[in-house]
Amino acid sequence: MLILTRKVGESIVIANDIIVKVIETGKNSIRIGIDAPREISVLRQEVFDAIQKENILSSQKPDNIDIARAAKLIGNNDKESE
Amino acid sequence: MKINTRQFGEVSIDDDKIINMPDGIPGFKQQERYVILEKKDTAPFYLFQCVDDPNLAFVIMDPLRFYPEYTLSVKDFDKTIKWEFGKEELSCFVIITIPKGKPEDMTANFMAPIVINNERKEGMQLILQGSPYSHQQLLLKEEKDQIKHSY
Repeated sequence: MLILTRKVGESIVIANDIIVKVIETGKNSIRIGIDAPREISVLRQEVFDAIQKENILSSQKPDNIDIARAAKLIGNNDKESE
Repeated sequence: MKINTRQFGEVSIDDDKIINMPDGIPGFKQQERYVILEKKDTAPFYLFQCVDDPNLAFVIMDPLRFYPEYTLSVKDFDKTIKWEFGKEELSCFVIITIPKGKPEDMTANFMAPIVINNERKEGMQLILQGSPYSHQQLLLKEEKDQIKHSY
């Protein structure tokens, strides 16, 4: 991993058109500004990781019995609330 | 064409029902072709089945069944998406996670819905940044709470 030291207000440029700027520093956190083309997706890593983890979890081959039981629970739930 | 599925066995599908997911979905980037399957005994759920891998499928549901006010905004989409918003019909589904043997603990991922452009047969998993919705929303929470109270 490349490690650089930057002061508040200073930036780094990645691949000519992505600019990462240090806005403010605190005790345990820093605020970062990111300028990137629209097609570059910028996500907090924990958000992306959580979605990926959830996708993997939900694809762990639920069997038909569980799906049918879940469907029944949802169906029944709807009828009760009507 | 005929495809194999783990949950529903061999299924015949029309080629024009295949949905292309150019970016895959997080965790499964290589798989780009999916089809939506439904069966009476698993309604209101559908199976979002990978065409090229019989073992890869997701249980999905219409989010409006749980959140009648659930909406997506054009702003949620990447600007480079070439869809003609407002002109092309979109479908939206949320992925359900059903723990093995514990269907009552199922959750839905409202933070990252699967959005499908029906005209283009193209879809993506949209991650809603700063969304008030959970990626692990219990679907039967109220019912569970009631059970707890009655003990």
